[in-house]
Amino acid sequence: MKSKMNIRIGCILLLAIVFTVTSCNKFLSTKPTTFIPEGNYFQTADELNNALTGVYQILASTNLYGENIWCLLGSGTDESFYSRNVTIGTQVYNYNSSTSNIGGLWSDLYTGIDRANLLFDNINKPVMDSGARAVAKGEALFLRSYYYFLLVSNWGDVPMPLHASTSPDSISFPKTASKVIYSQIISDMTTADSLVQPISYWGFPGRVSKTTVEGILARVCLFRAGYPFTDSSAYYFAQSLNWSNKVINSGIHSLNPSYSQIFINQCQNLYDIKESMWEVEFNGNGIGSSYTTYGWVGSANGIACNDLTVGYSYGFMNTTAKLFNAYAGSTLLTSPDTRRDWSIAPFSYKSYTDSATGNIDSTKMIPFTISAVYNRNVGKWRRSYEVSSPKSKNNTPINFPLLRYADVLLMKAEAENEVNQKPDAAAYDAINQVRRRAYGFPVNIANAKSDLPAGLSYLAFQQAVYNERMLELCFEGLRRNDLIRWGIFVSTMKTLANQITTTAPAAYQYAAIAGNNVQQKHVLFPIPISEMSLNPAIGSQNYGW
Amino acid sequence: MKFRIILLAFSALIVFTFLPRDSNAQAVLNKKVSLTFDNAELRKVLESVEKQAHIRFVYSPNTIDDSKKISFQHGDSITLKSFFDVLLSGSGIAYKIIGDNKFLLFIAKDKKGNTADGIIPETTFPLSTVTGTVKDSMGKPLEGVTVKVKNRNISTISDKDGHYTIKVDDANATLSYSHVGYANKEKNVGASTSIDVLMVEIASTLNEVVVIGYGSVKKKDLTGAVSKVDMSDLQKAPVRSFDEALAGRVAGVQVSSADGQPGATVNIVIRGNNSITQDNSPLYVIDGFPIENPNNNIIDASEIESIEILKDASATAIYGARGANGVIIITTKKGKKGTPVISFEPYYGVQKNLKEIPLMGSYDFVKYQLELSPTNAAATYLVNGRTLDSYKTIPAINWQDLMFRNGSIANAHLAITGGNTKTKYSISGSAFGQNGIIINSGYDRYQGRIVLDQVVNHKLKVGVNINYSNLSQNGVPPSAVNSSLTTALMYSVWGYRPVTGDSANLQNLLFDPIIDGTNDYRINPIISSNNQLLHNTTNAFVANAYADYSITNSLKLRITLGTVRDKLRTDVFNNANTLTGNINSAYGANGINGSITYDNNNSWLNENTLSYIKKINDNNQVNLVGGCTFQGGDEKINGTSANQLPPSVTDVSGLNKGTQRVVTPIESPWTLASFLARANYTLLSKYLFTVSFRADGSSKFAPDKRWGYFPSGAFAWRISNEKFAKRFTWLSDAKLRTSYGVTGNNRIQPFQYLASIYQLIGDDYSFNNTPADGSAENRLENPNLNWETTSQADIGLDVSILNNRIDITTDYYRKVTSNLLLNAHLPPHIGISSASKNIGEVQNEGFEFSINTVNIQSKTFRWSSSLNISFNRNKIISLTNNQESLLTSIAWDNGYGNTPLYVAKIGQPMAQIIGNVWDGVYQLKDFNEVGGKYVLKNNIPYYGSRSAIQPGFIKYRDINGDGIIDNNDVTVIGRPFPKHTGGFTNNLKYKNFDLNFFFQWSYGNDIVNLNRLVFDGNQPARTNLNQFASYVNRWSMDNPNSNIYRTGGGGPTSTYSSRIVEDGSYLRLKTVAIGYNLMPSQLKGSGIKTLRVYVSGQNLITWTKYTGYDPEVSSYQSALTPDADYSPYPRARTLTLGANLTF
Repeated sequence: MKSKMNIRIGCILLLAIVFTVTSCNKFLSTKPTTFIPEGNYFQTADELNNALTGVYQILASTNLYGENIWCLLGSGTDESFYSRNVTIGTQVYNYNSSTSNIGGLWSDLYTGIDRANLLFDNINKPVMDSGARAVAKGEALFLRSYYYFLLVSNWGDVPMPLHASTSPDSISFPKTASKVIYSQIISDMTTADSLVQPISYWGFPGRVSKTTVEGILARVCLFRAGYPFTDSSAYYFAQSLNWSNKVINSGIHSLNPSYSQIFINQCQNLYDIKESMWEVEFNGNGIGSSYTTYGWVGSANGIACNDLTVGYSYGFMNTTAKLFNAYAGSTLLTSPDTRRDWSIAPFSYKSYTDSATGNIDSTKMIPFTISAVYNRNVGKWRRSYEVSSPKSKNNTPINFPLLRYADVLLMKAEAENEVNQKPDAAAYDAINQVRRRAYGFPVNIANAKSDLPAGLSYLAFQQAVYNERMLELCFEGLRRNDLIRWGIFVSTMKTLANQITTTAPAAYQYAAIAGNNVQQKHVLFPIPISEMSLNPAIGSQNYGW
Repeated sequence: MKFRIILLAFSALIVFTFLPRDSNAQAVLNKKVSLTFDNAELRKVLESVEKQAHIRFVYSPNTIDDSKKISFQHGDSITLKSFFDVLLSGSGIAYKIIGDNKFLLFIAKDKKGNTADGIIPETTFPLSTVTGTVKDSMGKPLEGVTVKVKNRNISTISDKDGHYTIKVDDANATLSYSHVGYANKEKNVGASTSIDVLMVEIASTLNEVVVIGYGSVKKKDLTGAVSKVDMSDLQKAPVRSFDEALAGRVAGVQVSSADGQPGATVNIVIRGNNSITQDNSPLYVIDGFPIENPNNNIIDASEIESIEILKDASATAIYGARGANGVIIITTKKGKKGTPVISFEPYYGVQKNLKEIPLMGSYDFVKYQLELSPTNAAATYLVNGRTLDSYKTIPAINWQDLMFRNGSIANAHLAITGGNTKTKYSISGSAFGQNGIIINSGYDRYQGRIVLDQVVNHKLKVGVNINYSNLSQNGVPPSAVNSSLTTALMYSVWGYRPVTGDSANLQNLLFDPIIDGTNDYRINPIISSNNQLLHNTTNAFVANAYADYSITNSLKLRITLGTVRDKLRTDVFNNANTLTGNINSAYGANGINGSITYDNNNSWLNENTLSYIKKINDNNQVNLVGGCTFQGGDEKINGTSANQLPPSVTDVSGLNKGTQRVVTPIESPWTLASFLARANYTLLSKYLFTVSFRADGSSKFAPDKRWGYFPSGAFAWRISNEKFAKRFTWLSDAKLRTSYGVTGNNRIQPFQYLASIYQLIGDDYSFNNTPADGSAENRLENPNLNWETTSQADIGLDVSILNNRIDITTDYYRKVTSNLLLNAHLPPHIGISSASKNIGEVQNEGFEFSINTVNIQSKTFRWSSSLNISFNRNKIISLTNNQESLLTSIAWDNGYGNTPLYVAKIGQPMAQIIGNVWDGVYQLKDFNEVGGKYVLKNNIPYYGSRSAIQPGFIKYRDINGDGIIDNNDVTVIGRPFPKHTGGFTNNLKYKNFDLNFFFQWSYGNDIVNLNRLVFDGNQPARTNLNQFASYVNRWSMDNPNSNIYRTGGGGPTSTYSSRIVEDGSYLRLKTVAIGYNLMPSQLKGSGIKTLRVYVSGQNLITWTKYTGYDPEVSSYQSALTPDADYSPYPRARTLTLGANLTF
């Protein structure tokens, strides 16, 4: 009887063990609830669009247009200098492959690329309207190409993955030649051009639209036509012209009659899609909301101010005398070129203590004397126009321009001149439209006060375009790469340093450091140390690094 | 779920199948046994009867004559009574019922008329009868003492009241008394008929039962490295939680806490850090329930019966994938048989800050400010008719005095235990309260426990153990920083101005009006501490139930079910008088803010084990355990958060009135299924073998990598049982142990193997000024992800000499952890910055030594000591591909964010402190005087710009000799891991007095005293910041021999140097307890059975060269960043008065 009992227990135990072993795999298959495994994503149109939003978000990162592209990586040019006496950093060309701004830009661009790649790899998965799918594909394709454009224009040859990364073990990826990358960019952007919506469909410039794609293609082609490439320049200038003509001929775009209004709009979350074709959309400032996609436009590159109501600004960027004097009327307190006294702050905020109340007031605007040039901060984005309330010390919702119609006109003027090897009427018309607006004149009526003199040679007109781009587009994060593609970066910076050393007041002698530090190697960034050390297939470091 | 229900049903089935049957002792003689033997040994026959009738025979070895064989055939029908009357009496053996199912057998009468086994049948008539009581040194009756007439085969055993009765046939006889764990005693009988004896415990722990995973063994039979914590010593320390008193008690166990805050996390590391990025804390097994990160505060130390620490792989491999960091087994007290005992243990104590750091007074402060920033300081201080000398008489505000207070600590523990042979119970509860030595900080605990054990029948025993605790911790950690070193609490305490130049009363103002709040976030520490709310409330419910079923005498089934339900609620509230709540502060843009966060951690466990213990014969003994366990859990984090609250809201109850913020909810479910087996085999009581094996299946890994297998083996040789060892009479016991095994560490969050898409707010982007949800992949699929694997070899020697008065245990171990779970950086082109990967190897090697001695043992005085010391060395064997070293910076300040402070380099320890080597200051002789200016000589290395360096500036060594001091001169400047750590305990007992004192030490570790970077020279160069008094002696033209750099001569900021690396060695008189036991006579009539009153102290004296508050500090604790000190909560010295009463 006892032994029977033991057999019974044995059977139960055996059954229990058999049961447990067979059900173990089910038991161990727990399911996540607070995130979605990748394999289960991309089921709906919403999920596809959310992924697309994630691709856009990279534009707003601190390493891109949140701050660095236009400030720490972009302030050391002939139009501006970083207004702190620093000796180390990207703003003074004293950096190396471990500098965080360089590595951060590289990483964020590839994060955006990987996000876009993942979207392409899953583009056909969601059940959705095929038109909407095509638009999403077009925008993502364009954004990926734009990120590759930022990579190739700053680093030259770089790895070019076109599918999403799948495993942390696949760490090897060799560089692709920059010409091949440009071909891919132009081909993908051309595809995107046929897929995305026109800007009128959206009504705001935060979304990639058809003319934006075309305008950026014009820019890409100019880069492909310029330094360091020696082949096919004529072809790519013609291509660029073709693309800018498409924008112009679309009839959608025109210049805003008021230069300053373009930037006031950006401060006030207003849109003018005629002029401002593509912007990075920042929103909120972290106060009163968990939303975090805000930037430092205005707080880093604004008019230095300690008052939170006016809008705090560090005033990290000042104008060079070269830029200031390039505007008409360098001896006049107010320039006839309205761009000068908007882009360059004509006043500073001064703190003083009210002797009666003891309160410190930082809101008083003190105009500069005409001789004070280097003191002047960048004034394009003024936080006094910012609409958020309360204002945050650092974070602003101010948008940053990526493509303006004025830029398209100037690209057209440049390309016309290059294609024809002399300025034709179309080239003159394009650049003069920009100049007339700057002087407050109707853009389509010739005006001797604003227009370029007729009969300029190819080289003189080229020089005029180089100059005009600075006057029109200063502080918009374009100058350094423009100088590089024109092949005049090092010489321009050396000349600038010399000018500062000989003419700047003692307090601003330090502004020459960027130019003094610049060497030929600075036309490309070094490949970040993290990529060099962790990617076995990366190959050699860029020249000079 | 379904699966769990079936398991429950299965357990219930087993319980009900074997419900109690008749167990009446009187009826037992009517039980029938079936006996068929042919020429069998009587012993075998008896064993068979025992099994069949479920009875036990108790007899002296002499009773049964093995040479005698018997034959018997009686089919089914014989009753036990006939078995005794017919069969046994035929062999000359008599019996007596001595308990439930227990029979005493003895020889009826031998030829000489005497009994051979010493138990005298009623029929013999000796000369006299001696009675008496045996008690221990505490006056408690001792049960089970063997009382023997010397040189005669007469003996007896004392009963539960300590009484014994023995018949003595010779007036000259001597009685000997022996009992396991007590010193033998002898008494001459003479004319006495009543002899009472006091027996004194001996220190030997050989016979102690040691709890190991899924079972227990006697210490002498241990094959693995297992240390038992001396609970009576540990419980003498007046602490909130046992882990606070654990440091220095056990060799190989390093215990440290971040600082002295009540409730601060205690880091326990057993035999060195295995993992460089994952949790290195051991697995806890509390009453059989394995928990990875328990809140140790939920247990009152008085309720702990034993703590065992499993160190080597042989001991820990039974815990498989979670055993690599060692295992701490905690067993709580159970009910005891006997009349109900009520025990009450109250204590009350005061706590005082161990140390204040002297700061500059008014005069020195102003003098320094005038040097640092002459113009501004003169405008601030040399006004209102004051000169520098005026400040000699203007009193300084002592912010430390205002910040610190005398704390208090109190606990009352009440327990009732009792039971009978069937039912044992223990009901207990405690209330603990602590007011920290920093204002507005403290800790409270309310806790209750019920333990019930029930013998259902001779086969089945069931029990439950339920604990509920409510914990609340109050106060913001002073070392918490918000991206700037100026946000730490002690920054404001030390740095706040001791004096102003005018009549402004800094004590009443929230901000110092002359400080620029945009980059210096100091705030009145008193006001902000009193207004900042950080309150953690934990409700922890732990319930365990078991059923033990004896399938046969040797084979036992144990089923346990348990659950742990932990709810942590964190309340944060910052009103307008705090840094983040005040809109005038740089951090306060969001105004008054608060949050409530819930972290609910639930887990459950079912374990089913079979154990088989069989003594095959004297030479062969086996002990087998096997089973399967299932465990699962889920952590859920969620909550609510709001800012921009109106001033009318004064606590978290008004969070709905502000702007709501997102609290990202997290849920992490996991399950674990395991199969385990262990076999112990003892051969000839000399050779002990253990093999164990565990297979763990964890849901944390991909299906192909889910199962891990963890084997171990151990061999021990009891040398003392060898013949050749017998001649060493001084040697009581000696055992050599060796073991090798593999264990794992699966401490990663669930689902790390899955590629995942998150919809985080940081990936949102706006279109047309309207935020749109963004999503992004933030983790790549890694199906190869697996647990860290540690293989460990151990060789140990246990020696007891001089009749167990000296016990020595030594161990040497080496363990290699491979498959290190590293959050490895990926090449950025992948688009995802890092991934959990199994890469790299770490080795730990060490030596442990502990010795317990009884130094003096007499009737009235006893002195015993124990000392332990451990050495551990770790080194990195390999890192992620191509990586030679891993640099780590600590998050104490953004400005230092890119300056690594630690390096983990292949071939070197896991963490070494790096920085520039400090060479004092630039001396006058390093300069040429040119036109009244000092110009640094050309051959002297410089940093920054040569012309800026002046005499008295800090000097660093030019390691690479290139004449420029920069990052290339950074080298190793300190080693944070101690060379050895240890503890030394002494117990003295004189009559009714007892004294315990305990020293603990750490030797050879360096601490980075970041406080000195800021307050002993002001490297960040902040104005109006007070400094330590030590900086008064800085270099100046009048004081050119000082090696402390001059005002403003701190060199480049964001530089670490050996100047702030200090020797962190210390020796601490950690615990002293003096008690007095009242005599039973003194308590007569009071209703109190025993009463001990005591005073005890904790952290009494510390000998150290370290200049910070306390050398036991690690503000940013991790394996890669140990021993950095910034803005710590000072440690308190505690003095308590308490009593232990039983009724």
